Amino acid sequence: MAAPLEFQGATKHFGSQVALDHLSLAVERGEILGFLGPNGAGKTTAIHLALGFLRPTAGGGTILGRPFGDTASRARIGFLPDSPTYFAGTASGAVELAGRLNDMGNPQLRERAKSLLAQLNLSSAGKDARRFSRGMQQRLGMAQALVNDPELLILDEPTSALDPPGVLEVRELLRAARDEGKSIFFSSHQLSEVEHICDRIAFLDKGRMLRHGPLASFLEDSGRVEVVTQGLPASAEVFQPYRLYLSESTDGFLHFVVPVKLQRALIEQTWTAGGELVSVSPLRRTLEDLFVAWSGEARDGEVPDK
Amino acid sequence: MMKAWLIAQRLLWQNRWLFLMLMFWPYVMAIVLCVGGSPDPDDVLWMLHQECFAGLALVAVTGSTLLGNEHRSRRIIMVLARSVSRPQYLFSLLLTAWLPLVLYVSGFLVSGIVLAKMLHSSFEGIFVMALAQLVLGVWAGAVSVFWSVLLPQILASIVSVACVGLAVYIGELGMIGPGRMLLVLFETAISGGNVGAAIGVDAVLTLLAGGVWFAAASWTFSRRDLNLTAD
Repeated sequence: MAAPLEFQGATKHFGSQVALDHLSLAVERGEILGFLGPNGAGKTTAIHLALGFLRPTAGGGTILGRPFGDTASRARIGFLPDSPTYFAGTASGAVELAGRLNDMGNPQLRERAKSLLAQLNLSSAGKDARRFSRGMQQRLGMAQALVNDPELLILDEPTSALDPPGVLEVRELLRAARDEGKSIFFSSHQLSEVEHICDRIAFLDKGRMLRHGPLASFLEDSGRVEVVTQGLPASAEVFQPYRLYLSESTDGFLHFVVPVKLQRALIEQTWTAGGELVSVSPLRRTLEDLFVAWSGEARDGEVPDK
Repeated sequence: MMKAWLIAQRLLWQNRWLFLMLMFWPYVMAIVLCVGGSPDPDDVLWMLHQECFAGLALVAVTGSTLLGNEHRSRRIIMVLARSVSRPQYLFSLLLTAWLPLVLYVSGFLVSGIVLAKMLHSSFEGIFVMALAQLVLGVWAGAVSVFWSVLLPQILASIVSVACVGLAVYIGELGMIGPGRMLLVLFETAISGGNVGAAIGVDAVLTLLAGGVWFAAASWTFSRRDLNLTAD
């Protein structure tokens, strides 16, 4: 079965500027894929290509098995843009309009709209959606994206304007959607959010995809361990080669953060010198560390092979 | 059709005050003419012809600015992200440009009939002008939507109104279709004199010309990027 969303060498130029450079990436069924990158990386361009707002300069892709821009397949997609905007009218009117434009009819539509608005705390929202706060507009956009019970959700910065309770609500909605087998393509700058809910990530910079894979593999693979010792002073002869790696010294406990290849030597030498080993913990990297490191690589021109 | 109507409803509601104000324009002009007592027949005819042109200009300007407004507000992506094709979307813009003309023409009709009564004249010409406006409105709307796909708003408005003016010139050269239909609009007397025998054929040809302009607009728009600031 074809992936719900697949970019096949998608390329987009705006004049001489390359916004997206041969992006090949697939979102699998029932997964949440986080699409990361600094401003101007090409994330929104990729989303706009998938939805047919832009035409690729080269390459292309499929969405629910149909070429990008196919009108009928959009009835099975939910989309939330980074800054949703609305016609004059109520929240329920906006959600019902989205449903009708996706071929839904009453009474199913009215029921669905009502339940989504309740879930997103918008039941008692004011009369004109244009005058909602940004957070409310974002929640309303989420209700519009979910109204047609889509197979694929494409979300551009879905939590950027939400307060912490709003973020939790959206997180729960997305997890529930994934558990129902829906696929979610999620572009965000909010790295903690991505860490919480994404199964895989793809990192884009200057239009090129630099990394992609399971989130857990990136976070676990820091290549460093924290070794905590006790019973020997930091000035001990045995620690001379490791002084660079000493990160903290409190109450007789010495914390070393060393590359994996040095951990065995450090542990053995500590024991030999009469010290005690308190703990050895593999260090988990944060997405923020990775984001900064990958952006730096791209700046320095060290772009790895895809 | 249904989707285009749903979108057009929202767009019309968005601009409702402007359209309602324009609907009252023919009444205001009629009152101005009547202020000094019984109006002069030549003044009335001149005013009716001006109102006809203003009606078409209303369609042309509305049609040529809607797409730019929707791009700028980014509402266009909230619509085109759903199961709405580009031609359906453009059709909703055409409806939004044309439907206010129906309101405007209703004002034109009522005020025109009242003025004709005051002049003790028959008013068949008012009906001819009203119908010609509605038919030409479809054509002018399609022309303006076409230009709005290619040009920025102000330029599209100027070029659309220029197209209407050019069609009058072409009509004077004896060309059929919208050109001759425009001449009908500007040469018909209040009593209905000077109406060409081929007005029915010209009306059909005008609608067909509108269809061709709309098809060209749809074809072009379907092959263009939306004008959005991309990240």
